Amino acid sequence: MIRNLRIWSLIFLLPGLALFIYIVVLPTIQVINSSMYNWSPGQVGTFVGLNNFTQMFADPSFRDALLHTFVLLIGAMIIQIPLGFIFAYLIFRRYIGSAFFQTVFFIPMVLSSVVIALLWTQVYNQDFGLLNSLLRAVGLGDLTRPWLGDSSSSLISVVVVVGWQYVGLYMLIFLAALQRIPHSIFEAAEIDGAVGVRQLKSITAPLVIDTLKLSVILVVTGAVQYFNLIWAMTQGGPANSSSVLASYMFIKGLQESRLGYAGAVATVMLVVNLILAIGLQRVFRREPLELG
Amino acid sequence: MKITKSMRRMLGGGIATLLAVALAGCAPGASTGGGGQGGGSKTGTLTFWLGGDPVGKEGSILSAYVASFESGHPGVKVSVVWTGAQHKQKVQAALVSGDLPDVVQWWGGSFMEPLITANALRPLDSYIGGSGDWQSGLIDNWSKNYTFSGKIYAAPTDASTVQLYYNRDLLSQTGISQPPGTFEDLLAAVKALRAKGVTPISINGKDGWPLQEVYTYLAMRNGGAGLIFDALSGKRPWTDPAFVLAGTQLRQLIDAGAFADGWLADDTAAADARFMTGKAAMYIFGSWTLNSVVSADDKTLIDKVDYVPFPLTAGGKGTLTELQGGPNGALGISTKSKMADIAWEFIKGYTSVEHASQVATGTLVLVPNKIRYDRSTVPAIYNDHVDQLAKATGFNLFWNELLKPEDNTKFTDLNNSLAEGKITPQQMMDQFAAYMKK
Repeated sequence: MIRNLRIWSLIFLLPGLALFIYIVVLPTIQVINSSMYNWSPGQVGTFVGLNNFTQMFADPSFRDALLHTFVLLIGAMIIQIPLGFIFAYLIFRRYIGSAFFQTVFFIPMVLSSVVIALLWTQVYNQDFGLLNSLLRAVGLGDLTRPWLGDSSSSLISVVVVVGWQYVGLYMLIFLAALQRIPHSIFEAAEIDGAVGVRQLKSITAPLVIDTLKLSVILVVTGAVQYFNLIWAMTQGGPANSSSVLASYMFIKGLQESRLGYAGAVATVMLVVNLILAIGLQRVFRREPLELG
Repeated sequence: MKITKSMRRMLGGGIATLLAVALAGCAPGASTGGGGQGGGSKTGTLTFWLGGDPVGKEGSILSAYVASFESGHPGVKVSVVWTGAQHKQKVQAALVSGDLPDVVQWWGGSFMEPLITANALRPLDSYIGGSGDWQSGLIDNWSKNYTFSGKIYAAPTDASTVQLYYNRDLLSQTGISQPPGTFEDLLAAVKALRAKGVTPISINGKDGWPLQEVYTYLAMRNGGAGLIFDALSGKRPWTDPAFVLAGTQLRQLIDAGAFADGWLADDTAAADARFMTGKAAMYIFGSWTLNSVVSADDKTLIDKVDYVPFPLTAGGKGTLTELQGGPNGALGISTKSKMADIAWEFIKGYTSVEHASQVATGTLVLVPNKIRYDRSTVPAIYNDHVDQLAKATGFNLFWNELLKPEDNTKFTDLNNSLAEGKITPQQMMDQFAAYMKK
């Protein structure tokens, strides 16, 4: 019976597996394959071995994009995970207006990235932007600048927006984890005198640690591939100061028509992502806490 | 039943085979290219892709043209697709999948070259030869940008030139009675405007290429219209003083505060807005800007705006009749089109003097035709553009059509670094020269 079940489960998995191979595995292999060719749209590629890779690693623009990708990754992590957890915790503890704030924090998630980009481009505007107006109003007029048009501030400006965009998602994930904790655990803790910060540290945090791990992996893999907001806000500029791997790949593939080279960039992104994801999973390998 | 080792092996082997098949002898793109000649089908749907969105009355003019074309060719239906801002990406995707439309709008020079190498466009010489005086309706030397190995691959639909537009009121309020005719005038005007708290020049700094236009126009004024072609053919080095000086001049402009605060973040919409709402005194951009001027909310703007050709530089070899720009967008026929003969009929009518004249007066876009139109129906500034184009003694194509795409990315990167003060003009051209040697 059990064995039959395994056969049947295999049979039922086959259509999904076939689809997965067709739309994920094969294209991925084709991209890796194309990275070893000089290939433009409509042309048959010529095999160049690892030439695209050596050229890429010698290109300062690529090294900038790689560095910026890591800045984005760390920035997103610093913003999204702590804020996501704090918001979730505040809502979970039912401080005033939690339903309202739950909706407000989640709004960026349902907005299109392009809408967010337009919105924040206005916020960062040199002349009438909210940020500069605010700075002027509190007497910090010296700090005003064209936030997206200055290469010293463009990257950090877009990183903040990317962080802001996804805080709501991580808030929701943490909130779901918090709500899964049986109420009796909190009651028992309170009887034992663990309240406030002590309770948060010894009871709540350890019980959502798995969710935290999941979130870290999601943030990391998302950041390495991140593209749309950055492209819509700065196109990686000025002077490549906010470029990331994905925007670099877009320029090479679709503006310069070098699909093979872009394939090499994509391959690097895949490898970076795999190393980070597998590495993080190793670090995180720990028995999950059993819920009573 | 149980899963045996051999079944597992079969399954594993199956997947491995699949992957091997996917990779087998797999130079990417092998399935596209080539395609049938002939294309004499007289009926069916003719697909036509245009970049961007309709400007001014362009939409209704095109609809009328399509309607009359369809009634003149029974059995033919024309399907028009405006591809919006992502035209380039959409056409490239179509190239990869082998689904180019019958008639496609594209640009010349290095933009067109990959399509020719990919055998995606048909040569039009025999069609042009059989079309009588069609060619005489176009400006002279129109085909240079679309000619590869002696064959012409496209027919031009628009011409663009880069100009220095200015707001007469804002200049005169600053005590500047004459628009700048030389670079020194321009620099003085910039300083005077800044002193009065007026933004001197609006420019799209975000996209890179408009700033490149300023640099390349300065280089052309310093070294003449032949400079870039000499550099491309290796007759003159990329470190030629005319190039380096252009960098120095650009830096002088930037240091004097020529461009709007935060200009590097301005896209076309933002740069347009500064000039069209009277917040910037000058605007460096393509001739298509005229349409934005006439359609601005401020209906009196068109009376305040005029233009001068890009200023001359002291000791430079350039002349005012040498223009940055020239025949630009063009229509080609897909190699795979089954209706190539009909497609040519469509292009011939579209690029005819009659249709081009309608487009010109309806949109104020410059067209590469010897157009016939009533000069009193359009703003005087448009007539000046048309005359200037007709009298031009030399054209420098936009550099992004002259340079290979990857070389152009390198150049715009360096130009932006120069604008941000990270490298000197000499370093910029040293680095570009070193890059081009590779």
